[in-house]
Amino acid sequence: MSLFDSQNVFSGYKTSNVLQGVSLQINSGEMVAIIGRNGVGKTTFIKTIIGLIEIRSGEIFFDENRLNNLESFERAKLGIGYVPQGRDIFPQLSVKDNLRMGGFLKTKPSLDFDLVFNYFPFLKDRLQQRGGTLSGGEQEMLSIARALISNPKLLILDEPSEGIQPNIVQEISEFLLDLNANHNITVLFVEQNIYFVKKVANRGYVMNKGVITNELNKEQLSNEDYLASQITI
Amino acid sequence: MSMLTDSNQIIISTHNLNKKFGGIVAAKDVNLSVNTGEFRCLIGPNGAGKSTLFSLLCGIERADSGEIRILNKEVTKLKPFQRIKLGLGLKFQTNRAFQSLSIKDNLSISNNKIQVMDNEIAEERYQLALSEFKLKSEGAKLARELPHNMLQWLEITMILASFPKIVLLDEPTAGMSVEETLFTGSVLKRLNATGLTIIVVEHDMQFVKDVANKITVLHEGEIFSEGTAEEVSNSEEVKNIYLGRD
Ligand SMILES: Nc1ncnc2c1ncn2[C@@H]1O[C@H](COP(=O)(O)OP(=O)(O)OP(=O)(O)O)[C@@H](O)[C@H]1O
Ligand SMILES: [Mg+2]
Repeated sequence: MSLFDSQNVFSGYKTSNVLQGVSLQINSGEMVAIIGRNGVGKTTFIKTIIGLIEIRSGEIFFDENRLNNLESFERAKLGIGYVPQGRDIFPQLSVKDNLRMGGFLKTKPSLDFDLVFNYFPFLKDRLQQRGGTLSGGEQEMLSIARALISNPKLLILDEPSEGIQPNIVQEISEFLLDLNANHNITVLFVEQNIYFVKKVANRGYVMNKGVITNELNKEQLSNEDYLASQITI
Repeated sequence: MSMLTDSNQIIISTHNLNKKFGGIVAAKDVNLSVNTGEFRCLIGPNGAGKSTLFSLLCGIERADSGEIRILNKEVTKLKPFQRIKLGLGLKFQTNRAFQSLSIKDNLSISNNKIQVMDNEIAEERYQLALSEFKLKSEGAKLARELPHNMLQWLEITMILASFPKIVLLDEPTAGMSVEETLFTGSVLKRLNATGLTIIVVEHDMQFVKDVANKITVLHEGEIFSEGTAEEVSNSEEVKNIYLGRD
């Protein structure tokens, strides 16, 4: 059985049904990208997985648990780490307390802070700084670090490269590959940066108008022109 | 006086600007000078001090020392609203539109027409953004339901609604697809062609190369390098600290 299974999921906002039956599966150990235009429902899907938006119909399973009626924090405890688009760290809390918040949700024994500092050394010098005063890119890195502290089985990232300087985008893609290979973390991410998708994903889905319209293999993912054409459908 | 005759005039500048947060140096002897009608891009590593420089220019943060001039007037001690009155507009890095208001209402609260001068051209700019970004037809939608690109376009247009002469945009294309980024660049270039001075902070080098007249690279609070897109992107030092080599 797959680690993650979304079956014909519908969800949306007050005035609109955004997801119109999303079905996709992720196996343990995979690195899966969801691509597609803005407004097609990628973030809505992620928020539905996390429990920030209610599932109207359909079912989501994670690690043999049915998520439909679980609260967000219960889903997190099952081992889902989440890096939201636009970071969403706790602005009033210190960097250290932001990281601790991640640790509360630990599932497997938590990753030690040193590992996270290894990837983002600047955090070590900023433990007392208020999260909200970090620069945009620094907040993004804190947000990734916070999700990692809980040592999730599935790490979900919504546009992780947003606001990150070019050479660190390269580094983040490399460290996700490293986490996957050496810490057995499965990754699902939404991304518009073609370089990043190509480098990180070993399988992909194209979303359009609230449904999955195509599935991409590694070979298709490594063809930038093909990828670009899929994103602008 | 036409826009063209004074196009070589400095519209906004800083002199030896300094700002520290505890031990962190966010601005160090910054001497920035932007001409009327210029399209300037500001790049540099995360934490380099780009957003801080915008905050200093707008008066949201106070400099520890140094001077800021807007339209030949010393503004270092002026409050943000006084600088806005002089014609400065800022779009923040994080989204600030009122989430529970519609596009239309967000625009109408921004449309305070602070500038009495240049009304016609400023109105033209505002109308251009309104129609290009399709904000009229979608006017009833709530900000919180907008995809990222629409939210960014709304916030850019909200700035234009106050009829500014200088627009500071902090990561205006964050969250946009390649196509939307290109389109945003083309609209901003049209706005710039009407004489509007634009200063943009962006990490998207494709976009930066497409729009900038000149690029300023900040690093650890200092101006590290300045030049054309070609000069900056070929610089080995800039590759080392910022661009990488992939
Ligand atoms: N109020 C504050 N207290 C402490 N440090 C601060 C404060 N405001 C900013 N800083 C620090 O100053 C540095 C410059 O921040 P700034 O937001 O200007 O960076 P930036 O160049 O815009 O980066 P990014 O590309 O990530 O947005 C950062 O290291 C940030 O953590
Ligand atoms: Mg910034």
